Amino acid sequence: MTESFFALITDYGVWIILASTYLSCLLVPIPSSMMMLAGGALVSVGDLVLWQVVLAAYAGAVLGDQSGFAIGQRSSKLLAQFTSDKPKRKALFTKAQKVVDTSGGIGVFFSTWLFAPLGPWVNIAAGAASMRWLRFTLWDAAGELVWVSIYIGLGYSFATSLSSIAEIASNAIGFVTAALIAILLGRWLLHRSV
Amino acid sequence: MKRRMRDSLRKHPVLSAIFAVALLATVVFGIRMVMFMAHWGPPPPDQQPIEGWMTPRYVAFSWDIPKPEMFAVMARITGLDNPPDKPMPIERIAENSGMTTAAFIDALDQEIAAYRAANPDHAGDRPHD
Repeated sequence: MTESFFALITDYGVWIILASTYLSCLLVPIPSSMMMLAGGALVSVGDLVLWQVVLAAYAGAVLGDQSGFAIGQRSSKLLAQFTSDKPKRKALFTKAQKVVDTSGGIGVFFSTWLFAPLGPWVNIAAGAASMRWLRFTLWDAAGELVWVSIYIGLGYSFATSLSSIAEIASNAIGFVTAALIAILLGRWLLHRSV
Repeated sequence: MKRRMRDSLRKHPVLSAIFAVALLATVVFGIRMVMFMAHWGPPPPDQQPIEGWMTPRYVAFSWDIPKPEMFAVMARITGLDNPPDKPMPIERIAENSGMTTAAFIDALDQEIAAYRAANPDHAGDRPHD
């Protein structure tokens, strides 16, 4: 299945990489990290050009995150209606907005690469909680640079062991993401008990 | 603390279930990560079985075949003199020359084996750069 995606890259070039990083930031299940690994490998053998691969992957990722943020913003209006006549809900919502706006930047940064599976959700949440656009964009753009560089760099360096490196990377990302969720939920359950 | 945790788990069954799944996933991903790393160990062999998505350059790189030789091989298999002007996966090249991907890969495997038999210095494991 992933192999047929690879054939698309060699057939249609970097546009496929752009489309896959864009769509994967919007929760479409496409193995975009594998696509970037393959892109890096094809650069190293001389079939693709490095700056084109990097630009395509990066543009797709940043645009995808922007779309997620915009979707969040739209739904924030619905949320505002939902909370307007309920003071308790309104207080909670305002607090959530404040938290995202004061310390959400670093969360956005790490959700783009270290906890990549959370990324699409964080974008929508940031939009819904009315995080400032510039703040979101700067942290997001920095994080996506890390994401794109790591995967394309790994593909380039380990061109002929794509499947092993992909297995390690995807399991490592799954491990840190699951651990983060377990820690956050565990803490919440512990402190929320009574 | 134990009791608080227990009360909390009872009070929030859905979140507790997600918590349990996350814990389990952490363990599973952790074990798989370590296993793959241990299995991977030193640089793996360069020669990957040829697959339809690979390009001729990728195969040449993986099997340590000089590029001019690879072009000659491709020309022999396809019967075409000039390589296409853009990179193509092997499955597309096979299709364009009226062969199945499997037959094309077989032919390519034979050519590579013949080349490596004739050039023993290209037949061993290449040290990773």
